[in-house]
Amino acid sequence: MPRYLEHASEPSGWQRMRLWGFGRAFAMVYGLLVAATIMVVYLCSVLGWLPHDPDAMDLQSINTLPSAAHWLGTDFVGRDLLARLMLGTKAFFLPGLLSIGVCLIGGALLGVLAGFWPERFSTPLGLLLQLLESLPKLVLILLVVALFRPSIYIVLLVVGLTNIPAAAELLRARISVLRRKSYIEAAIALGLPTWRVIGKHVLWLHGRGLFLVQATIGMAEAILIETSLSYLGFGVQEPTPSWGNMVALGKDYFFRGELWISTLPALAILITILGFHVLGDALLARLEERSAA
Amino acid sequence: MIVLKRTLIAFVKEALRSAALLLLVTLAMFAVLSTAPGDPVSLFVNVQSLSADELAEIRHELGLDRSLPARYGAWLLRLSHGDLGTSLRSGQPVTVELWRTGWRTLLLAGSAMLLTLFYATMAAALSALGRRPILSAILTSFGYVLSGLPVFWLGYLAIYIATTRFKVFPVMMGVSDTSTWSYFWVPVVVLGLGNGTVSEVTRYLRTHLSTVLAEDYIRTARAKGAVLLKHLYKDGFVMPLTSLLANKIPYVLSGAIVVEQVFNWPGMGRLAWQAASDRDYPILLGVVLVSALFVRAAHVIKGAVQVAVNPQLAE
Repeated sequence: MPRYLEHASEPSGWQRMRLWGFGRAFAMVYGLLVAATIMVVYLCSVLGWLPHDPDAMDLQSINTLPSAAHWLGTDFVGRDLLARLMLGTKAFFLPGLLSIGVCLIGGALLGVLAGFWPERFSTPLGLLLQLLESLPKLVLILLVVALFRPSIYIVLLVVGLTNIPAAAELLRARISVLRRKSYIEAAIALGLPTWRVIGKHVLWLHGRGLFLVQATIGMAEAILIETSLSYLGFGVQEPTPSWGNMVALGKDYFFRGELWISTLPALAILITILGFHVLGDALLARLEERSAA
Repeated sequence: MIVLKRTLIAFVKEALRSAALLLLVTLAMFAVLSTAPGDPVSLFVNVQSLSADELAEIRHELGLDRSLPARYGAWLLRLSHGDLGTSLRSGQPVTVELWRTGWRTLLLAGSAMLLTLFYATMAAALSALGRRPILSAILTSFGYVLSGLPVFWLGYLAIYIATTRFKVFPVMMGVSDTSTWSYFWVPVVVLGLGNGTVSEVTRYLRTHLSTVLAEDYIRTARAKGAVLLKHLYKDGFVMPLTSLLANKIPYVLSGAIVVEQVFNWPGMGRLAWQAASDRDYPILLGVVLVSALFVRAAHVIKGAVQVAVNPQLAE
């Protein structure tokens, strides 16, 4: 039973809406839609199915608003914004997946170690977590940028690595609860091999939801970091489009009142990050509901 | 009196822990630096023009022929004297550069953090108490939008609105005149609302408040008609807000790098940006250490305040 049902006060309109589950269902649908769209757009941009050549300049029509010829308008040298926006997904999609993959694999490994053998691995994990929580991520990335001049793949790999302790800690906390449950004890007592208990009963049956939530948050973060870094000029470089450098390039026109060039990629960032955030929230809420039941 | 003593003990404990963690940060940074590509000697001399013997001598003078632990020890010793080396770009000591910029970033990030917490508290309290459902719904959903918007675009928008509508611009910060203070709030608002943590902070606070509101002692307080806030503020506000302050300050500092770039705010973030362009890693190392110091300071405050409020945490 949701907690607010126990309240002495009447549930508010907002709470009642949550009670119906409308908000959550909407969030789930919206989030899934965003994730699916990003995937489709990425595939299109890989296959080259773009409405226009993203590098073709059309000096006859610069800084135009959306029209029939250019559905989302053109930038300051007349390049089609829709094509560039679609191509911009390339900047973060695969690197983001890499970041998520590294984080989840490392997190699973470390989390299982710390969960099943807490006396040996719990303290180092805690220290590592506190260490990384003390460092602002972008500062750390700038240091990496200064030292290695890495590509965006390496940068997001580093992001994935720095996320490992947090993911591991979530899993460790879950396992420490699970280990006291009788069916895990029973599984161990029945002589199931340890890897099977870990693989099936812990990681698959209980970890996957957790991982899914981590993955959505990881993708949102990957987009945030890629666009911020590209905005700062250390990520994806012109003429390769990234939503971050597209915002930066529209700056001069923005201050003159031609808001569209910068605003369009910013909206794309907003819609996408918001999508992954609400998807993560909805999944988490579902997960908590289920584990409470 | 006993509260004071307890708080002091917690403060010292937390400070010691933070010192240990900062030591760990230096170790990690040294490890990262020692994996950096390129020969460190090449920073000082033209390697090609020297013979092997001369190179070996320079290496010896710089201490590069010693083992890694010995080099770390020597480095740490210099660090403990406040010597972070000199900037490769300006030739000035890193500490000087950090003093010049650090307080500005602290001011920006600190004010922005307070704004974030204020906004989230408003939204969460209205929502959890069930008052003004429309307003709280607006605040909450606006928070979601804010946390997805890229902070650099939000900065552009703020500059645009401020220049065209309110004519309060465009002054570069750091220029020492009085008009800078009227301009101060723009980046603070942008960073405070746009650092990407607003929705998460709101959600956390709301969940926390709902939990506390469902406690028996709150029901009792309500039943006897006491002022609710008097019973609520410790568990409902002080505890989560200090936790959030400590946990979210790294995100605000990350956001500050971008916001300083947008607004030309001559703080540590811009310093770090410049240093990353110039591969000026002594500066970046300093920035890493100072930001870690800021974060740990927030944790020390959190530890002390929480123990002052809740003695059970002292154990």
